[in-house]
Amino acid sequence: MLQTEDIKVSFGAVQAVRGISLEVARNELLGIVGPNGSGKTTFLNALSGIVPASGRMVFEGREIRLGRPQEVWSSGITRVFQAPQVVESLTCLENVLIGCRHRRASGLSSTWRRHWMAKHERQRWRAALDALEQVDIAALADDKAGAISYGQKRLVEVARAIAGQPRLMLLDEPSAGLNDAETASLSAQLAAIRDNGTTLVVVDHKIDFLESICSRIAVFHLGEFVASGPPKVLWQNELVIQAYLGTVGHA
Amino acid sequence: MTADSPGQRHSREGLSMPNVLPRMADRKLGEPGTLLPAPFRQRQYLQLIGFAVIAAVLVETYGGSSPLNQFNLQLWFTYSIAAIGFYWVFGLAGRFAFCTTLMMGLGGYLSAFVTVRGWPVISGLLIAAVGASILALAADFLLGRASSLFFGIGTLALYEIGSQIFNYWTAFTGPSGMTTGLPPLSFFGFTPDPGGETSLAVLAILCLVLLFTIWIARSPLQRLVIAARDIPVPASVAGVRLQYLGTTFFMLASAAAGLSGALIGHLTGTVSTSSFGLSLAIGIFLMLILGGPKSMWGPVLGAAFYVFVPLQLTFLTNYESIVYGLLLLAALVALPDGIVGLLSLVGNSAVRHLRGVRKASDAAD
Repeated sequence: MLQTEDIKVSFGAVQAVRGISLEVARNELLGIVGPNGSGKTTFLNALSGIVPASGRMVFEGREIRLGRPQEVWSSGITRVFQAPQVVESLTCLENVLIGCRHRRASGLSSTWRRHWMAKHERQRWRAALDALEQVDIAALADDKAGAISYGQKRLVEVARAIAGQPRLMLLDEPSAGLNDAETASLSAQLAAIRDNGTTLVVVDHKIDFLESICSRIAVFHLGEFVASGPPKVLWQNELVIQAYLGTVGHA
Repeated sequence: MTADSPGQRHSREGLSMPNVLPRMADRKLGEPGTLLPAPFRQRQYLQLIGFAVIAAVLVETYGGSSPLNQFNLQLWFTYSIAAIGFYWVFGLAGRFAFCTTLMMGLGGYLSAFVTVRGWPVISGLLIAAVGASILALAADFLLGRASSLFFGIGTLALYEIGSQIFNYWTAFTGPSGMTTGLPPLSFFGFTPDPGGETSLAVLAILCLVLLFTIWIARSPLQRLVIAARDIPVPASVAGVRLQYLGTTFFMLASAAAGLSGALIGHLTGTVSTSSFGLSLAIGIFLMLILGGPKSMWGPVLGAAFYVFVPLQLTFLTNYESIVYGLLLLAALVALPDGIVGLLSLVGNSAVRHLRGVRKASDAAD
């Protein structure tokens, strides 16, 4: 479904991602792990189009130009960020509406073509409420995003990504800042999203969390792809042990 | 202790609380008991009607007492139009466009250019709005990708260049950059008298601009532009067209400024560069910040303050810049939501107090 070839990202003299090639199968839930500075988030940023990158990205057989977030979104890829990114002055429902795939009647002419706009708005409201329901926070729909907890903000962001009707969702450390119960709840919700037909790529530090939901995990180290495989098998890989825990002896 | 909203209860009970609401998406939106996005529930239309009635009463009473008062009301309405434009571009889109007065001047000159040659005033007003928005489009082509700070500096440079062009391009702006003899306002053959009728005509135009502001608020456009302003990177990843929104709101603001400048020209009969100087540019910024940058009523209240308060403080005329500077500082520190925020605070306190009195009297009964 997704193929990346030789993705490279540099910040001045620092090469944060050094030619990563990766394939993600349809309906897969792929986890990405690695020590701090291994290029996981930067890799997701490159796939999202928000940092300049070189290489090749093919999604569902169509090449997507890197560095074009609009093109990435249009092709059916949505993103959840490491720190919850919500507009605090808007309600949770409005925050989710921002990400709705349905974009007809949302430009300047929607201000005076009221009936046309209202017809399409109703469809968006339903989609946004559905997305909030999927992550079990429909009750918060009318609350200001600035007044809800950190974990709930994260779910609002997940709902916004769902409202984009993605075929591939990129999540950056979705469990960060969540307690055990919240992480377990999130695991169930991500599994449900995958069961609904969405492919997921999840970057996280919590190995238990990833093992519980991912069919395959990829390991990055110093901006390079090290190995990938089913969780149980992967941790036996010597390269992974060296990359993630230091030398074999230390491990 | 006040009753919790469902959201607050949910918030306290934790993230994994099962969804206790019926399936909301199955309900027909817009029916009683269903959920609408917040801006669609506010009573903006009633507020607009209330404002129009109060302003019309002021035109008849305060304005009727002297021609100067009437002119001050007209000035308030026209400045409000320019300040609302600034609210669109700065308050909503978060772009500090420092060329509002340049657009006002351009609007004034464009309308003057065509109306002194016999074109109807209404066409002059339209050309003013369209011409200013076209200049904004051209400026945005050059500055569109600049960061917020550099966009502000770029528009300031644009203002300087434009002012010089107005001064030297006398074939367009008249001798010494001054065009005189603009016809008074008239609409489709009807020429209102220079007093109350003209004030009501300008008020009607202001109400149309406010109506458009309500339509922006009650459309997807407002939440998208706020997202583009507050979370640009996640918004772009969520498919929000940042460039389109930034350009659109800059053009709209410039159109409002152009219209405002043309109206001032027709009200005073002259257009000159001194009417649209740097002090007015700072004044428009003051109108929005002092009035309240988060509400469409902020620029209207701020413009009223800008026009009427100096009339009561004539002894401070020599210190005008210092007073405005101090007011700006005071507003930024003490009133981040401006006069609108203060009024809202007072109103909410009064409502709470009245409810408390009512509850106490019920308990006593």
